Amino acid sequence: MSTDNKRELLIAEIPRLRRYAIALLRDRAAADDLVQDVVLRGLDRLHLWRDGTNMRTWLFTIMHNLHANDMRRLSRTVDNQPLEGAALSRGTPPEQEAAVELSQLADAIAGLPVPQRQVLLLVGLEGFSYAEAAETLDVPVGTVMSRLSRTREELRRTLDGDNVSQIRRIK
Amino acid sequence: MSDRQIDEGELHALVDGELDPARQAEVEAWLSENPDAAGRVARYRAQNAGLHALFDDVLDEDLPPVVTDALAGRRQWLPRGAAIAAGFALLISGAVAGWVARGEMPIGGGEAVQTAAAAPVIDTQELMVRAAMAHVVNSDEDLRLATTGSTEDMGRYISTRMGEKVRVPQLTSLGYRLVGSRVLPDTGGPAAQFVFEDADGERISLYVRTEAARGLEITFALADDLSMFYWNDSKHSYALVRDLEDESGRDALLKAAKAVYRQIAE
Repeated sequence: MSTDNKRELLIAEIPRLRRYAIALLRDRAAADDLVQDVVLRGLDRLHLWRDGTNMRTWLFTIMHNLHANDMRRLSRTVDNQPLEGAALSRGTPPEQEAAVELSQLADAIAGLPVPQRQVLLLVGLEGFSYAEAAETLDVPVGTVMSRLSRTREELRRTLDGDNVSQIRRIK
Repeated sequence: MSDRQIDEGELHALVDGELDPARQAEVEAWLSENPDAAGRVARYRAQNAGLHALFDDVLDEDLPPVVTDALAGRRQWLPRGAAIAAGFALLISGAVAGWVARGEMPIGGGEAVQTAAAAPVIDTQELMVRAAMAHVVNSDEDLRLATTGSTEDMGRYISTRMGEKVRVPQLTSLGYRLVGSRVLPDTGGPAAQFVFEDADGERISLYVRTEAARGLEITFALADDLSMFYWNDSKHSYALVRDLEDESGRDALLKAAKAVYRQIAE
């Protein structure tokens, strides 16, 4: 495959990289900086990407590694910033019987430890298979599965718990 | 209904389409008789739908300038390199007392020499910053690429440009293949850079500066994104750089630094 073709494949993944970065970081400026770094590094190492392998997981792996570096750096300089819901894009609520309250979901995700947020977003938002998520995060598939079920169940309890208390308050 | 028990993991695998069709049918049949579990599955699905509702708008947005700039050219690496240089500079301000003293590594199996008390005889800050900048920007376009068996070629090319004989280190026994080299402007005359790559495509680069000096042992330095070993001989100072890795990456880098030292020390 020519360099131009590889480049096109890379560019086609950028919107997804941004969606994931914004969901992960909850800060658009920081997310775009991270995506910029991924694009630069991806272009710089495009010759290392092998034909027939998955461009998406390759780029998400680069993002994961860069983000891990950023986290190490941040942990040395500042305490974790509170995540702001205002930085989120708000879409239309899903038309579902069991629809969750979006702002509650956003807050609940923000409260998750990063490794749990990563798994939830890669699988639940980006549609990665368990194997792809495991490859991207460099953990065993079993770890992806256990993190995912723990995370979803925690989210469910948090969200349902809020609903219960609201109902009680109304009564 | 299957004899096999349904475990929690399979409920998630159902949500994520990870079950084969036969098992999926079994789990769905089981759910029809287990409303509690079915309710949980519905909640998990709703979480996924919620994620899409929150974040899918991003897919339709125009790319922001920082990203389109990145696509437009590689020059964007420079600010990153400058930030790294600043990181090193900060580190160096405390280096004489801190990293230099702590990082001393005996080369020949002798005693570690504490040179921290003596002022370094080379300009370590200049060396580190230049080596870091050169490492950060080392794409193939910037380099004279090596072909198989062209090590001597490369040595002649660099030696001619440097105006003195420069030996090309061989790191193949450590799993690094020479990718290419180039000559860069530096305050003391031209400097050389050799870039190596391991089987995973991880690159390390050796920066060679003309700088008459003596007596600095192999020393470790660390910045946010890079780790580096540097040292000198009677004619040159050297820095071997790689992207920041864990301890094993550091050990591998030290091995390579020692190998380079033994091969080309003067």
